[in-house]
Amino acid sequence: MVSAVYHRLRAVLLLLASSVPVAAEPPQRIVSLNLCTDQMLMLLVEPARIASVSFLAQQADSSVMYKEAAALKPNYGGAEEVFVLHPDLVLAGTYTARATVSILERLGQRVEQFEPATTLADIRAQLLRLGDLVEERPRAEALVAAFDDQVQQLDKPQHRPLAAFYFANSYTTGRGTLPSAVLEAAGLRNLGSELGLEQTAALPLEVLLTAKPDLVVKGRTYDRPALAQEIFVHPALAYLDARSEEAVVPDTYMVCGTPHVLRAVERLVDIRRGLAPAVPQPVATRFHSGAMTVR
Amino acid sequence: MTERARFLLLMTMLTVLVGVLFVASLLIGPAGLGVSASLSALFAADGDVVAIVMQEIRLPRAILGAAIGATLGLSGAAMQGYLRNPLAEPGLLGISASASLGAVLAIYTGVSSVFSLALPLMALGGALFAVVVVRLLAGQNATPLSLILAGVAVSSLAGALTSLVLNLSPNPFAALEIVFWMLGSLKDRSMTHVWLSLPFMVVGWVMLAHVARALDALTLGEATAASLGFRLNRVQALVVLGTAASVGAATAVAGAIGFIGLIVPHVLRPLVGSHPSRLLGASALGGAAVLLAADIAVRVIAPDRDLKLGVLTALVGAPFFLWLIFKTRREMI
Repeated sequence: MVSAVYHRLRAVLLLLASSVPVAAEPPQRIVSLNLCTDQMLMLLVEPARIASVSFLAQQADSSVMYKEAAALKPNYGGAEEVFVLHPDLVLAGTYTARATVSILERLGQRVEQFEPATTLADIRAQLLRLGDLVEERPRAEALVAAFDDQVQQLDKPQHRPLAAFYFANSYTTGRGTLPSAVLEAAGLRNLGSELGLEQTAALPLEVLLTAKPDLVVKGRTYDRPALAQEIFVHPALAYLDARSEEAVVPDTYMVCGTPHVLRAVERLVDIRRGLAPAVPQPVATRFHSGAMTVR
Repeated sequence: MTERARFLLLMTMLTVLVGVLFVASLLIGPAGLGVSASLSALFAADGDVVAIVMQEIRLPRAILGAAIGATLGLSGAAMQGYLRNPLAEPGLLGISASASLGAVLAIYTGVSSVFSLALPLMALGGALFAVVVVRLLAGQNATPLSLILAGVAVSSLAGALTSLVLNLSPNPFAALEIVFWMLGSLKDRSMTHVWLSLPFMVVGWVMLAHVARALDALTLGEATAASLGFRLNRVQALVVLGTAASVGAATAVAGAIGFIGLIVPHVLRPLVGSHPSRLLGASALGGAAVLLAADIAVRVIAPDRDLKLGVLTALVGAPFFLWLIFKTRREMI
């Protein structure tokens, strides 16, 4: 019964799909389901060619380009709402709206997926790839050239202070993450990486303290209270140079691999220059052993 | 050996056990500091990293472990003695769950960030509400069964309302914290939490200690106790307020931790003879030892997983509870 309904529905939808002109020319009705592809798309094509971006792209607390996105049609990642837009290209992240992506693909939609960028090189590569997909190669190359130029101008300091991100519930960011790449680019060492942590991982307050980072960037604090945020006001943190993310760099600049991450890098470079010159000290190895197992 | 000497020996042993577990709690942590370095850092005056870790992170955790455990053991013994009911316990009667609700309302509505004492006070209010409601629901001469049923009703309602408040919070982390309020944890508590809760717990302990002699008299029945000169209204007020103050403050900073108040008095009762008054002190020490041990266990078993205390206490406590029901079912029916 259910499968019969499904097959009929599918037939109707396929009929609808076939009535849309096949994209022989550059895609003109592009739908993006992911905050990061949203922002890359807005950098590369005229608003008229964007049929919809994700609702997150319009929110100031998640998107750098919320103003540009305000005039566009938002989507919430549902297959149905995307389908009725008759897109000729759908952009998605490899971790977002999985069910929607698989339905759209079964319906014969052209869906292009993007991995989350974790390095500055990823950002270049993804811009060029999307540039090809939307047939805006020159524009993508210009963006990449400007990006490379700015990266080139970053200084490579002799002394690289130790920094740590410290998010709600005592989490930090380790190797293989964009925030880690941002710290490195800003001439800082990432404590999470040096402790051998991967991705987003637990960092007990004790370990953070004993590692003596020169700078701690505390995660975002929401207006409404939660225990997860109490860690930011723990008295022990007062002994470190712990600054709130709002005062350093909002995480919207580090969520997505777009040229906007350079704003975060520049901000961190300024902060690094202002840090008290400290004697370089490696992370003591004795804290690796024993009770803490690193995920 | 006289009965009194045996009791003193038991108290000494329990005190030593609490002391050993307290020190062990101070020595266990992810930073893997040396034993002598960390113990001397406990008293160091300088702002050395080891001293900060010991004084600001591990010491409050150990103090709260001991104080909250003592609260749960003591209040369990006092309620069992006062209600003359073997199943009475703050967790089972919904007092912890209601205190959690009070604490959740204080924190997530933002009241406690404006006025920090609102946290223990509102948790106390929640606990007080539960004691009174359970007492009313179960009636004056409550059987163990009716008391437990009233407790189940209060627990469920308080738990549901706690979940509701947390689910409705616009903070994305709040919904995940339901687990903390239902099962309890001492992770990353600070001296702020000690100062916020310990005074209320101490006041509660003093109130409960004052009913010790009356509890002995109550074993002979209410009429006899009254004829011996104990004012039963005053005794009831002390038990209710003492439990609400201590359990409320304990729950406000560590969430609801079940079963300690049930198990500890039962295990210690045969060792102190049939004196509810002696059981109070012994249960306080026993509760402190059990919670310190549980808090050490969660850190050793799963150091980076933030295992909740209530998980361990329920794993031991729930089978024990079933066994108690099995043992007492004849009088319950």
